[in-house]
Amino acid sequence: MSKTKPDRLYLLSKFSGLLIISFIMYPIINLLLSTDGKIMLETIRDKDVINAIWTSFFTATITTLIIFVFGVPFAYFLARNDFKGKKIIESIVDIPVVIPHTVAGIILLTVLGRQCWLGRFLESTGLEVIGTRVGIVIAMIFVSMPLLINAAKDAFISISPKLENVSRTLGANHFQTFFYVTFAIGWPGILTGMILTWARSISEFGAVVMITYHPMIAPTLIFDRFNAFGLEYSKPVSAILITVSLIIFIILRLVAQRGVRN
Amino acid sequence: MIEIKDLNFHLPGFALSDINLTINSAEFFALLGPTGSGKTLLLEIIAGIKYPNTGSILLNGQDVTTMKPEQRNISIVYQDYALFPNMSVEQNINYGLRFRKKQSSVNYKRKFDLLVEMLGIQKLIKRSPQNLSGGEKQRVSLARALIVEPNILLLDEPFSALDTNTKEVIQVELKKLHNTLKTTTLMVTHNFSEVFSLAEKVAIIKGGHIQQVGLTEQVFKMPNSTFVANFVGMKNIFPLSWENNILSFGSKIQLNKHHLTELQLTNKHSDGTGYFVGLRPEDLVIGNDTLLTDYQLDGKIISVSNNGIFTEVTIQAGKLNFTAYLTPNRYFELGLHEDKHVCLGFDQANINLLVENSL
Repeated sequence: MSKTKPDRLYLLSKFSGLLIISFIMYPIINLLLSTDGKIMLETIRDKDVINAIWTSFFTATITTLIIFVFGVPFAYFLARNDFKGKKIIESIVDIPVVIPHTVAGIILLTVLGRQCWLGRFLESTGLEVIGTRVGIVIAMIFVSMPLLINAAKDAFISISPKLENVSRTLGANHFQTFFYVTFAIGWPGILTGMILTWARSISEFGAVVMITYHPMIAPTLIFDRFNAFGLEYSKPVSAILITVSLIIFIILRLVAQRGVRN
Repeated sequence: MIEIKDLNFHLPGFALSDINLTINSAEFFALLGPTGSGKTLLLEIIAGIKYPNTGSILLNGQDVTTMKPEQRNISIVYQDYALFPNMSVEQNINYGLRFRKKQSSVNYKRKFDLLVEMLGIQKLIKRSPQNLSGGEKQRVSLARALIVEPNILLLDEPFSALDTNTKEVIQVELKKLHNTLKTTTLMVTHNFSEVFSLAEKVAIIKGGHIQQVGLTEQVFKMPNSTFVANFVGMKNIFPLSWENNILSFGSKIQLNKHHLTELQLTNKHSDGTGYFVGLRPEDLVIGNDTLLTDYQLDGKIISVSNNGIFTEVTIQAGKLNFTAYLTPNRYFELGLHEDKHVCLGFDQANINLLVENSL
C-alpha cells in the first residue's frame, strides 16, 4: 500500500487552527476550572450579580430588537440600490467597528449630555439617558449596529432580484414580496446577524461604562469587583457570565442552523 | 394583445431605441438577438420591472406603461427558473393565487391539476425546488407562471440552461401548453432553432434596435440584412457588385436582371456596394456531375464536419467559400471527402438579396 505524503499546506492550516482554538478556549476553560467553588456559590446567590447579568441580557435583547427594526430595512435598501456615495454610506455604517469603544462612549456622552442640545432636549422630554438602561441600550446600539446591518445586507445581496421580480409579476406588491420572499429567504442570515449583535452587546463594556456605570451590566460589575476585591472575586462573575452567554449563544446558533437547513 | 409603441429606454452605454412591436392574442412571438442586444431588458419593461423613458405599452388596449408589475397580470419565466427556495413545489406553483380572489378555489384547483398533469410534475409537488433537475425546475416555473392565467407569458431564454434532450422535451410540452391554453407568449432567445420550432412570429433585435419583424418562416427564408441573415443561419453571404449592367458576386456568378428591380438600387449604391447575396447552406446542392440547378460552380471540398444530424461541407469555388449541409447518407452516397472536386449548385429562388447592416 502506497503512503501519500502529507500535504504541507494542509498541515500548516491545521496547526494554525489548533493554535487559534487553544488561544480562545484555554483561558476560558482555565477560568472556569480555577474559580473557587465556595466563592462561586456565594456569587450565584449575590443579588448584585443576578441584577447585573439580567441588565446585560435585557439591554442586549432590546438593543438587538431595535437594530433589527431599523437596520433590516436599511440593509435591504443598501443591498438593492446602487447610488452615488453608496461606498461612503457603507463606510459610515462601519465606523463603530473601527473606533475604540471608550471613544464611542465619549462621543455619545458628548451629544447625550447637557452640553449638547440633543442631551438637553431629551432631558426636557423627561427621557433620562445618562446613568440609565436607556443609556446602556444607546451605547450598545452604537457599537453593535454594523454587525446586523452587514449580515442582513449580505443575506439580501445573496438573493437574486429575479425572485422578487417573479413575485411582483405574480401579483405580490413590494411589501408582500419582501415578507414572503426576500425576508423569508434571508432570515437565517439575518438571524445570524442578530445573534452576533446580541453577543456583541452582552460583551460591551467601554462605551457603556462611559454613559452608565449604574445600573451595572455584567462587564461593569466584573470591572468593579476586580478594582475593589481583586481577581478572586471578579473570576466567579466572569465564569457565570461566560457560562450563561455560551449556553444562550449555542442555543441561538442551533436555531439559526435549523433555519438554514429548512 | 400587446402593443409596444415608440418605446425608448436609456442606460449608461446602452439604449433600447424606437421599439415598435405588436403581439396578437394567443400568438407565440419570439424576440431573437445576441447577448447584450436588450432582449431581457425589453422583457422586464413589458413586465413592469423597469419603466421606459418614452413610449407606451398597451395591453389589450389598456395603457399599462406606468402600472406596477403586480397590476399587469404578466408572468415571467427566467432562464434560471427563479423558484422560491423557501417553498415547496406546490407552494411555488400556488404562490400567485394568494394575491388573487377573482376565481373560486375550485377553479384554481382544477387549473393546478391540469397544469401539473400536462407538465408531468404530479410526483414532485411536495418536494423542495433544490432537489429538482433543471427540466423539472423549468416545468414548475412554467406551471407557476401559467396558473394565474396571465395576459401574457414572458419567457427569458427558457432553454439555455437545459441539456439538449431535456430542451427538446420541454419545447414539445411548451408547444402543447400553448396550443391548449392559448396564452399570448413572448419568448426571448438567442437561438434561432428554438424560434423556428415554437414561434409563429419573430422580431430580431441588435444593439437595442429591432432589425426585422415577420413570420418566422419569412424571416428565416428572407432576412433583410446581413446581420439577420447571419443570425438565422444563412452561412453563405457574399458582397454583390454591379458592373456594365451585370449583377454578380464572386466574379463568376452573374445574376438574372429581374433582381435589379427587386434591389431598387439607389444612386449611392449603383455599383452594388452595400448589397449582399445570401444563400442558406441547406439550399446548396452538391453532386459529382452536372446538376440541374439554375447556377452551377466547380469547387473543391476544403473541410467536413459532422454533428450527427447533418454534415457540414465547406467548398472552395473560385475566391468564395460556400458552406452546405447534407444528410450523412447523402454525404456517403456521393463518396465525398476533403480535397475532392465537386459540382456545386443553387437555384435562382434560393438567392436572397441583403442590405449591409450598419448598426
